[in-house]
Amino acid sequence: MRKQGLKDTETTMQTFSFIGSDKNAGKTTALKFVYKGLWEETKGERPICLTSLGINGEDVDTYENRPKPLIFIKRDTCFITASEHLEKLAGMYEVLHNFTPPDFRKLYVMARSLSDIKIILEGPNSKEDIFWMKKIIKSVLPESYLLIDGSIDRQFLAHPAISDAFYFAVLVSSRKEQLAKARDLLLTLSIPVCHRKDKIFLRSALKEYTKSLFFDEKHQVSYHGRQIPFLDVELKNICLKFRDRYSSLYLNGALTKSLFTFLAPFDKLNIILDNFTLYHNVAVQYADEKPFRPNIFLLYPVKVKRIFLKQEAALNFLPVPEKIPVCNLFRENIDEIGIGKEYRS
Amino acid sequence: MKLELEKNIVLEGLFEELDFSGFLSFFDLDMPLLPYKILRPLNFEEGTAHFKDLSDIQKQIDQGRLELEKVIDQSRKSPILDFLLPFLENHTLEPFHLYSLGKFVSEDQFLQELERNYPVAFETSGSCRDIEAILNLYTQKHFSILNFTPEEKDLQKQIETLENRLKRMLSEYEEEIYKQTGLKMIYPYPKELDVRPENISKIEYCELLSVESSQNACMVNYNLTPSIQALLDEKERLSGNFSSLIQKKLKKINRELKPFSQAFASYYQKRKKRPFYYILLGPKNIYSLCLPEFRAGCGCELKDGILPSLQKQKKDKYIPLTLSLNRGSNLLFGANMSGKTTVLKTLYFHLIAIRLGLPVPAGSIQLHYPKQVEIHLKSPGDIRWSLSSFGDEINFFTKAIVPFAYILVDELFQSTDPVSGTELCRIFLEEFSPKEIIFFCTSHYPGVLDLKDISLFRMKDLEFNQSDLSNQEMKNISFSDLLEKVPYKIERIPPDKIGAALKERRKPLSIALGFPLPESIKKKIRMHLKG
Repeated sequence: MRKQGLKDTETTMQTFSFIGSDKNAGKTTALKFVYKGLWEETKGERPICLTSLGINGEDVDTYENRPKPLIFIKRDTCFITASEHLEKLAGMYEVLHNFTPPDFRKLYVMARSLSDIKIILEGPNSKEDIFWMKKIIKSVLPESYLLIDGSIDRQFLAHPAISDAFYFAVLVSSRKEQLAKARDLLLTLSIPVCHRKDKIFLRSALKEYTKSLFFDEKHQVSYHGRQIPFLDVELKNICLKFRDRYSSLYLNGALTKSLFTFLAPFDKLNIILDNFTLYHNVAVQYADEKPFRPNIFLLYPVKVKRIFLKQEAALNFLPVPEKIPVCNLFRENIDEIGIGKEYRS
Repeated sequence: MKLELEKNIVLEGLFEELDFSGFLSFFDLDMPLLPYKILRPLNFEEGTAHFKDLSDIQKQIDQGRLELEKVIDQSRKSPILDFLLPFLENHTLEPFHLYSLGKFVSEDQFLQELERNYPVAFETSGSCRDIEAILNLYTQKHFSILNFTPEEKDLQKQIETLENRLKRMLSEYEEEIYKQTGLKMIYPYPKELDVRPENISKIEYCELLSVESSQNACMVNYNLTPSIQALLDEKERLSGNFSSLIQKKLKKINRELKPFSQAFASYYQKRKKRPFYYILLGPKNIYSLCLPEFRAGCGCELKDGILPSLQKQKKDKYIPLTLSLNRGSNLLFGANMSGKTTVLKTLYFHLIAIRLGLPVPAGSIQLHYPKQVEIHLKSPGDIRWSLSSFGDEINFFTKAIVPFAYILVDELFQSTDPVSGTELCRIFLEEFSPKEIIFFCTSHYPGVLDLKDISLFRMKDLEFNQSDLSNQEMKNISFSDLLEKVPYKIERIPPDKIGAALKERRKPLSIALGFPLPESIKKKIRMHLKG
């Protein structure tokens, strides 16, 4: 039996984001599980605040067409949601802050529940809004845990200023595409972090607008791209021009099918992805294609605290790194890790 | 507060060149009540009223009756309420609205105290006090929670007791399921299982669970015991009662706020203007800005006007602009690179800023209100409109010009041949001469200097003399050194000095010597200069 505490020893605000390999991968269930665990461990010593990127907790599960349970939150839990979800909860919460338009697209309320309540979570959906919101949460609840029901499509979630760590929800189904997505998400955990010198260089060279940066071993920049990488013709020309020398390409845009295919033969190229979300769905689309010769690195490492499996079919090979705890909320004793060594990479 | 400009207010290209964004950033200040403002040109009535308000507040500050820093700090504590005004008007405020409303009215009391010598909308400001009194009655903890009646508190207590009982019973219920089936269930979340797990028979026979099979998996759900179900139903009933009491309370609060909603909405709109004024006056001292003084008659006197973007570039070597323009036509005569275009751009910058209601970077400026500001700079034409540079210039003059406009033109009709150009210059200068506008242009054409009823100016030039020209140092002067020698000052040409002004026409030859031209050409230039 392997058990890992959810509580961190640090006392500053901690943000944990939840990402699923697919729709209905059990992301929200994982959030509820972590919330429950934190609640029991902290015993109210540190506030817990729940929110979601966009809306969470639609009434109906779109895949299974079953009613989806709302999130149950306990007395004294903090949450952020859109004001319209509070209409039936008057008198059951204490307002901590209003995130108001025009700073935010609509009115989001940060509140503390006065009793156990069921709620739909809905938070803002853009990087700037989340940054700004976090700044305010830090001032109102400085020692809190912030749990964000996220989405892998929102790449900014991987920014270290937003998420301190992740929880992955992985759907293991018999459908080939869903399984490939699950593998992709787990594969990102095996991508090494780039060299320290590259990291130091990139941190000083990157601008807010940077989408790509092509540089050599001496950190001489040949190209600084502002366009989405797969649409950037000049970037591709630079890659071709320097294909015979050892170079690095930093990307802050997804490895799409065309870019992946284009870069596949460059065996002297190191690709440094800004964050793991950019690797999403690579194997799904290109599993049968020729080998990918460049080395892939990450600028920001993925700190995954736990992987939650939602198992609909027999477990196949899944590339789960050894040190990350795994549990299967839907199958076995939730206190145990629901995956045997034979399934680990 | 972030200031932005409405589109197409500034001539294309000049927005960046004159760094309007940089100037607007002088006024950046975090002000929740006014997160941003889009500036648009103010008409005469709006503009004069706006600057009158600004200068009235400035007087209060100067007389020590208003402490600008304090009122800015206090203004920053007020939240924005625009999002709740429709709910206030419709009497449908929710508790989260009451929180922001309460915060606003309580902070505003402090602000009103600081502004007691110069209050905002005195006739409606009392609504804040009335609203605060109501909110204090119905809310607690700085308006963040509703106050509860004994009946509501009793219901809360009952619900809490029920919740604790439910928690215990559900925990026992989950434990019992685990004992019977080996499944660790967490109410209310269902669980998916393989189609035929080993313990399916135990699960199927467990009365505490229900099983629903599908092709790929089976879903295990809960068969709650009657006692748990009864508790859940009771909780639902009590919560419903509590909710209904709270809804009644909210209606009551909204009803009591109703008489003050209109006055408050009106006060709020006026209140929002005040921080804008404070923010405009805040950077005045830091950046040496001034408020314009308007006069009835046509004319403009600018003293020590600064173009911030150029000052930033030139630092200590920057020379502010001082000029006095009269009604009608004003002609600025001068050599190349003497700063004529910069004069026009500096004036344009100030006029646009004033039309937008902003203080300007100058020692002082007295002028008639700029009802219209137009500028024409040397243009390469526009093939999209089939316009040559000459056509473009002529097209500029087809715009309607209102009285008290400012029309600024660089190198008037330099876009055509000198003979026709001179003729056109004379025609336009004579045309605008008697009008109630300021027409201010630059020119090289000597054929316009004899025109009557126009004000003539020239740029003070580089003072070269013959010894300079033969001086070795002068021969090797760099372009940047040359630019540093340009005085960038404007002076009026009295009628008796027109002849001297004509002589200045040889200055471009002197200036050309500052460029790295072939020595053979430089030699010829020197010979021409020597006559």
